[in-house]
Amino acid sequence: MGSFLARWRRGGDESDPAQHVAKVLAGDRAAAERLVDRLLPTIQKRVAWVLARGGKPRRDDVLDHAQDVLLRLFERDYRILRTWDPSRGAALETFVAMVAERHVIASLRSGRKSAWREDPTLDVERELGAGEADLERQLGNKDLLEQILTRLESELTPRSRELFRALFVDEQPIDDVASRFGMSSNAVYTWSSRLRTRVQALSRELSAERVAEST
Amino acid sequence: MSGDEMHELGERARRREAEREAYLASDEAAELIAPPSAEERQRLLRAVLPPARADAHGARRSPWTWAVGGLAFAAATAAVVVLSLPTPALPSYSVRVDSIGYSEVRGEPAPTDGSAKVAVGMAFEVVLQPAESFRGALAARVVIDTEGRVAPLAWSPELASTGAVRFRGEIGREVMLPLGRSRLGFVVGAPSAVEAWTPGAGDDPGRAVLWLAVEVVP
Repeated sequence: MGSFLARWRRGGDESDPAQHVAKVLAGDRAAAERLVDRLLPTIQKRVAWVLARGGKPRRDDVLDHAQDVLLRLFERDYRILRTWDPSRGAALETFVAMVAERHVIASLRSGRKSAWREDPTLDVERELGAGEADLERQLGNKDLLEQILTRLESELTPRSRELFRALFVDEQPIDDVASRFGMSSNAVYTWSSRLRTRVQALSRELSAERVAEST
Repeated sequence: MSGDEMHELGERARRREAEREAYLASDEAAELIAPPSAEERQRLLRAVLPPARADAHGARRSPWTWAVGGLAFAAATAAVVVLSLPTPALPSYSVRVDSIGYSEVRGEPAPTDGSAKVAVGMAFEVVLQPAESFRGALAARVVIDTEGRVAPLAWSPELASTGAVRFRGEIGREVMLPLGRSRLGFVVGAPSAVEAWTPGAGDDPGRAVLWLAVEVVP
């Protein structure tokens, strides 16, 4: 009874993520606050994990980055949140975790701790000390495959990461992936070939950096 | 990289997921992922949701004030700032590209002439960074110079309370750039000085004009 009343007060069943997001996109401020409550644990976990790979993060850092991720999802009329499509199979939390991970890695890559800096001159100092090698060290990557994986995580869009996961982590057949993502098998194959090419390029690039660093 | 190596990459991704789960179950992570206090939650909500409904008391001010409220809102805000504050001097600005470039994605050497090489469909982010914080009324716009012909470019800026300005969008969608080489001119400064700028206009202490060469490939 209590849960029915709660649903009635909210004007819809927010236990369904698609309905919850639809209410937010329609401009329901209270639903947006509840969406923050819903997504924050996922974002905190993913941010903490990425930051912990490079050292011991503080809670303030985690919350600052989490705030940035939420802003990223909501800004420009929820532009990024709108790209989540439940029919493609990824849970809302999975999608948001990917956005969070990509955002934090990109932020570390650019040398920005967070978009919340008040002193714009700090930017320059941070950028001077934030090359790719620094990033790899920050993320504690020891071998080439780890480095390639980290680079891919920062470069691929959430949809591309879902494709990567389906093809190479879950090892689903191309036809199944094509059907799930609403693509032709040829398109999935072409995407997969492009990814291999990119991975090859990353492998060469990172190997050269290692040689340069060791000399 | 062979199929086996792609398989190994997938295997590595699986292992990383297992490590992540183990870390998140550890005592070390417990404090970091604990639910926010009431104060932390309020601060987050004020920062990420539209300010019209937010309680401003004790809020942590967001540095990025989205320029999505329309011209009327911007004009009203500027008018309030102009009426209530003396006009501070505009600091010097630098321009930088914050998005990943085409060359990085393709593993090619980056352009050495300071230009940006981008492809249709890529995210493109340009930041105008002040040498020091600037709290005065600010506006920005972009023009495109194609073979000496300068025209306005429809690309909305995001203004930060620090005076930084950010332009973001996807090439071919929010940012309509022609294929090939062109120059983008970013005009930033006091709203009236930005509005008054024309390609032949001289220097004005109230504005800065920064140029960025770009090459767009299909």
